[in-house]
Parts: sequence; C-alpha cells; structure tokens
Amino acid sequence: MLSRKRQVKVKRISKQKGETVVIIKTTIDPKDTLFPEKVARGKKILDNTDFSGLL
Amino acid sequence: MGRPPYPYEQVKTTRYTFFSLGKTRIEKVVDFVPYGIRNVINLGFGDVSPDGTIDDEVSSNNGDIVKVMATIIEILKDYTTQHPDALIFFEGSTKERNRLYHRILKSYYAQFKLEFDLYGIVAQEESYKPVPFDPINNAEYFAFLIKRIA
Repeated sequence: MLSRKRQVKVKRISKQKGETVVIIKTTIDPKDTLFPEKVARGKKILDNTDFSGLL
Repeated sequence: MGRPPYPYEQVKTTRYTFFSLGKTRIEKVVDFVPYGIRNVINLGFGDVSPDGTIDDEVSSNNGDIVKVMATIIEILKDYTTQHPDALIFFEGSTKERNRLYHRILKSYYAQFKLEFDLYGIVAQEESYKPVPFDPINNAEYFAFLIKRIA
C-alpha cells in the first residue's frame, strides 16, 4: 500500500534588530488537527448524514 | 480487551501518544477533533514518522495490532469519561482498514456494549444514516459512531 505523508514545512528565519517578522503558515496548523484529510472526509459524510430519530 | 494496553500519555486535551513495542518501536498518536456538528468528534490515529510527520495510512505490521487496538480503546474510554457527551466518529483511511475496524468491533461487541452505544453509518439513497451496529450481519459501514452510555 502506498503511504501518504503530510509534510509540515518549517522555514528557519533570521531577524535583524528592529525588524518585524511575519510568519506565514503554509499548511493547516498541526495544533488544530493532525489528520486534516481524514477530518475533511468525515465532514463530507456527516454533512450528508440524517441523524433524525436516532441521536 | 484480552491484552493489556500500552501505557499512554495525554499530551493535551485532545491528543494522546503511546509507543507500539512490537518488532520495532513506533510512536502512535490519537487525536480528537470536534466537527462542530452536534457533539461529533473525529478520532484520528496514525504513526509518528522518524521525521516527525504523521502517517495515518501506513500499515505498520509491527506484530502487536491487538495490543495497539486495546490501547486505543483505553484512550477512547479515558476521553469519553472526560467528555461524556461526545459522539466519537471514526472511519478507516482505506476500505480494508474500515473492514478491520468492523471486525474488531464485532469481536469485542459483548464487552463494548456494556460501556458504549455503537452505530454504523450506512448509505441510504444519496445520503447517510447512523444505525445501531449489527454484530451478526455483515453490513457495509462507511464509518462508525460511539457514544459512552451515561
């Protein structure tokens, strides 16, 4: 089976005195979820799920 | 579960880690993410690769699947004790993985139903519907929902 990995890119930067550093995140924040694809897939199912009468 | 689980650590409110000690030592991570739909929480599970990335599709073949599953169930119990209203949603990253989860739930259904209500999500026309998990017949479930019995 092919494995699919999610790369989290981190770029090391240097800062001069007096400069403001703006960090732009290139991926979903891993602090929010480690499995964004799985969460997205699940949301697709849940958005089309009829919960009436059971839960 | 028949086998004792691995010791685990809750590293934050929604995240647990443990080590699978089979043929090799593999760090595992279990992550709970709220969907914002009712009280549904996604249960994600994967391996932490040596480079720090997370892989939820790898087949570790570490020879300890029963013990790993026992650990995930213990984590599930711990999390749902802390969040008793949570409705835990999970699905396999592949059809094969989904069938594996189905087999595990069937095998441990007698023990599981003492603490949890189990549902399978089935397709109905163009949508999905949760139905009580059937441990006898081989229904095709697209995902599973688990709710701790209060």
